[in-house]
Amino acid sequence: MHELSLAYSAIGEMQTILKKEGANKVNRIVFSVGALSGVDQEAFLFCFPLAAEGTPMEGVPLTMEDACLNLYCNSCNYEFINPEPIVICSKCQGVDVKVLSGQDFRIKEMEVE
Amino acid sequence: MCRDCGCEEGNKKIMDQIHGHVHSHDHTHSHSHAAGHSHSHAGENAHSHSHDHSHDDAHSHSHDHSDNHSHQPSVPKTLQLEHKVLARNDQIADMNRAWFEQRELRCINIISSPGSGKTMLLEKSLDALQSKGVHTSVVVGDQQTDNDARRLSGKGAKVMQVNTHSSCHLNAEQVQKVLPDVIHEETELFIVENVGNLVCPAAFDLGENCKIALLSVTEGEDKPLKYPVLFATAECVVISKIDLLEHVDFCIETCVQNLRKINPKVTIIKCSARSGEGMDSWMDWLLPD
Repeated sequence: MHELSLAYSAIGEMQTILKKEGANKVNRIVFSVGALSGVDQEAFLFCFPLAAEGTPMEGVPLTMEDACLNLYCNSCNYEFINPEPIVICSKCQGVDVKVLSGQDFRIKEMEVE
Repeated sequence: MCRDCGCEEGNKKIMDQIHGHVHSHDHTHSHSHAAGHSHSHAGENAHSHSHDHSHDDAHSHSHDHSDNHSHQPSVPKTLQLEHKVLARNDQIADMNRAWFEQRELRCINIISSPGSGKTMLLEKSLDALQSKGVHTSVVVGDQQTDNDARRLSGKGAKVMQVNTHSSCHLNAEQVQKVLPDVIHEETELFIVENVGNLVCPAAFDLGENCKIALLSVTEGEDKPLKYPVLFATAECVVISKIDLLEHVDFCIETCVQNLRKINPKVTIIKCSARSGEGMDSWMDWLLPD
């Protein structure tokens, strides 16, 4: 259960972003959850209000978007998307596959004012 | 014209040193100047402004309004960020990595579920490393106790225990803090034994060169499929406790197939720290030169 740590990290990053933008109000937040990010969305949504208490993020509606694995096969130069965390080329079954995205948990979007 | 108030008299630039006009703003105000000009504001819209008067006899003053308001209405804007939630951890991990690189030492991060044999494997590894003259430092993460650090001490390596208390993983900052104490000039290999947990430690980069996952034969062959994050990012998976194979229903071939599905390039080492079987392969991997 590292989602509480993630929630505190997210709040810290968002406070930095708000400061940089000169904003003090947040209307909505969109998170992008990579297939290989290891984030339990339900646990994160449970923990977030605890970390957000007393900050501009308190009570703000959250959207969690799934981010598929975006992969590239070095053998057959095929770029493809895999909703499952399996890194084998779906075209040539090659194993020399590079993960382009889908490993991270990101703050995708924030509406601020 | 006064560029602040708009009054005609302003252009006279007649000021004196006791000019100080503090006006609170509801928005009609007037002020007079000892030197003889006055102007007034009348406005319906609340706003704030600052006056920059230039004075012949150089002095400056500022005007404060009691009501805080701004001219710009707040307009919501959407920020397209794609900002990593663990950005700060990753930054510190990169600093750790640079620190290791500078000292030309290799850092490995060992992760597994509790009880899969991390400490036992390290006990035997430290004995072997000591006999090979490899200078090693170890950080052991556990929620409580220094039992593991005590088990690993007296084997030539510098060992430090980090208690994470309620936390289920080590983060980059916890490692950064102990580096000056645990790493010495001669350290060539730095091993982090992470908190026993298959999920959370995989998400936190510590700055290691690679992650190693342990999977004991007393666990299920499908662990790699159930916990893909760690097994997909590990460079090496050690299937441990193989001396127990005859007592359990663990099919090594199925486990290997599952691992390859998640991580086709992974190095798989089968060993038993207890019997010593496979320990040579493990040591060869640990010391690639």
